[in-house]
Order: sequence, then structure tokens, then C-alpha cells
Amino acid sequence: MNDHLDSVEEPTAEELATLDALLSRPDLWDELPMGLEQSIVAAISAEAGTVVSLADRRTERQARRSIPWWASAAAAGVLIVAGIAIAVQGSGTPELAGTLIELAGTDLAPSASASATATATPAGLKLILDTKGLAGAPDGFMYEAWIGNGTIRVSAGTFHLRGGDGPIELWAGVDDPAFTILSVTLEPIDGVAESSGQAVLKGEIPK
Amino acid sequence: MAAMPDLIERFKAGDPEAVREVYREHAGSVLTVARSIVHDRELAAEVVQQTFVKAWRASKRFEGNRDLAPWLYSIARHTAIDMLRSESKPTRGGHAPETDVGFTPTTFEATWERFEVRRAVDALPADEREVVRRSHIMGFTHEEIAAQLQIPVGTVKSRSGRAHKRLASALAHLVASSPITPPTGPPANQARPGDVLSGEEQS
Repeated sequence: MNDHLDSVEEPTAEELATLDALLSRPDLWDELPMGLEQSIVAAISAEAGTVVSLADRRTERQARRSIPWWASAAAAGVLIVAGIAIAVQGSGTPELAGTLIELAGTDLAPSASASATATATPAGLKLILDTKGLAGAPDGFMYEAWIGNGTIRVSAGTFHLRGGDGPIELWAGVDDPAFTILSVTLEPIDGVAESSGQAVLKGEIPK
Repeated sequence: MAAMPDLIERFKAGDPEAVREVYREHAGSVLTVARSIVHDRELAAEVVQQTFVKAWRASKRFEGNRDLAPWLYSIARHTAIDMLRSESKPTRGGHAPETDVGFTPTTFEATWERFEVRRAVDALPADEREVVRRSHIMGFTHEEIAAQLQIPVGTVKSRSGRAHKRLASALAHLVASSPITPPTGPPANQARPGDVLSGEEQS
């Protein structure tokens, strides 16, 4: 890989200065979220009718275990600020009439949909999520619900749906009306609290 | 730098290995474009996800002898702008959805420049890339990097030198003049970022 470099002239000081400016932009060095590759491959394979082998999943999961130090630090920070969330499979009825939220499937789960009822309680925001057409999370993965405002996201709990569709009770430790988005992401079970960004369901919380 | 026709055909067919190959070559550049527009890390990940799924859905119309990069860039930019508009809707304020909050996305030329720079960085050998990353984004000296990586300072300097030579060569159209000038886009024999999408896949 060095052969062709011998014939390349050394950059001038002016060129190096320009290169320095180009390379100093932080967004140039963002790491790709763990698990994103697998989600995209799985979504396309599912739609195309091709198959993703389990070995592929294992390989990527193993690769994901080498988490950079800054990701661990960020995840620890998120853990501290995130509200305590519980996901309990089972039925439940809000104590008070709640706000109805409709969620649509994203490109990763185009045939999925869900509705949720959000109720502010003295303990926090209670959500009853009812999904339709969302497959159970694959082995090594789970779903996680989030409420957000476009900048900040707070976890509202995790679930896997491997037992089939049904109402899921979720809690978020916030009730700020500025939170306007309810989403569900597919997450690798890897101890990282930060969202993978792989949304499968998304909806706006009406005022 | 056109992709191999065989790869394109396999990508169109949804072959997982081909999707993986295309992702590994271009996802970093797509993420950089997304991040430069939506700024939020998690939204940017959603843009990357949507970009590759949209690209696959639209790939039937892609000609196999063209470069994938400008085409993916165009989809990524449109997707990011759509995402930003969607996230900016003032639905909490009682406004109608069509009265979107105004915003000014980063210019076409600026995001294309970032795409190209990220692409050149991702093409570096891993050991050289790591030295450049620690130097540029973390601000470490060659001596500090040598201590961190437990290698001689001379090795750090040679890796840095090679990396900068490669980058200056790959990005000659950007670094040849100072101060930084906007790029003019891809060469005429490549797909131009602005002409590859119809409205269908931009939504």
C-alpha cells in the first residue's frame, strides 16, 4: 500500500494547514453505532427475501464487544441521568384517562405499528404500549422505548416480545411536556445504555 | 472509484454480504453528512439506517458502472434534511404541521466536502488513521501518541507522514489551494449527487 506513495510529492506547509483544518471537524470522527450494520442488513435481507446467517450476527456481536472508552463513559453518563424504567409484560389500565399516541413502523420494520396510552402519575409517566406486527427481538437483542424532544432521549424501559404481541407497561421518570416523541429501538444486549439509534417504531406525542 | 458491477448487482439482489460491503465502505461518510445536518447523534444514526434501506429500494435504477458514493451522498443529504424538518415541526405549539420551523441546512458543497474527507480518512490503513485521529481530534503530540500506543516516536511520525501524504493526494482538489475552497462535485463521468434521485426515494 506504500508503493504508490513513493511517487507522491510531500504536501507543502500550506497544503498541510488546509488538511489540518479539514481534519479538525468533530463530525468527521464519529463512530458508527454498534449493531447498526446488522439492523440494516437484516432489514434489507428480510425485504429482499435473502437470509442473514446466525454466524454473521455472532461475528458482529463479538466485534461490538470492543467498545471505545468514550462510549463507555457516555453510556455511564446516560445511566445516571436516565429515569428508572420498568418493562413488565402483561396487561394494565391507566388510572387516569391518558393521551393516545400512534406509532408507525420505520424502514427497519415497515409492517409494524403500535399505539400507546401515556398517563402522567405522581410517580412519573406511565405508558401502555400495544404493538402490532413487530417481531420478537432476535437473540442477543431487545427493544427499548424512549421519549424524547429531538435532542434528549430518556429510556422508558426494555422488552423483547418473544412471547408475542400484547400490552406492555412502561415507565419514564419524566413528565415534561417538551418531550414530544415516543420511539422504540432495537438494542444489542451489551450493557451500553446509549440508544443504538435503530428505531423500529416512532410517533409524536400529541399535546 | 466506481464499485464493481458484480457488487452492485448483488446489492440490488439484497445479498447480505454485498449490503455489508457497501455499508462498510460508505457508512462512515454517510454518518458524517447526517451528523453535519441533524447534529444529534441518534438522529444521525436513523439517517444512516434510512439511507441504506432507501438506496437498496431504489437500486434497480442504478447503473452498475457508476460510483455509488455520490448516489448515497444524495440520498443521505435528502434524508437528513427531511429528518430535520420532521423533528422541527412545532406540533407542541398548536401550529399546523405545514408551518414548519425554518432552518438552513449546511450547504450542498459543504456536506459533499465532508463526505469526501471522511471517505479519504476511512480509506487510510487502520494504524495510520489512529495516529491522525489522536492527533487531530484529541490533540495529542507525537510523543504522547507513542506512549499511548507503546510504539517508538519515529513510528508515529512515519505513520502520520504517510497518512498526510495519502490524504493530500486523495483530497488534492481540496488542499491544493488555501484557504479551503468549495469542491465542484464529482467528475463528469461519475453520478452527480444532485441528479440521481427522483422524488420517490427522497421522501
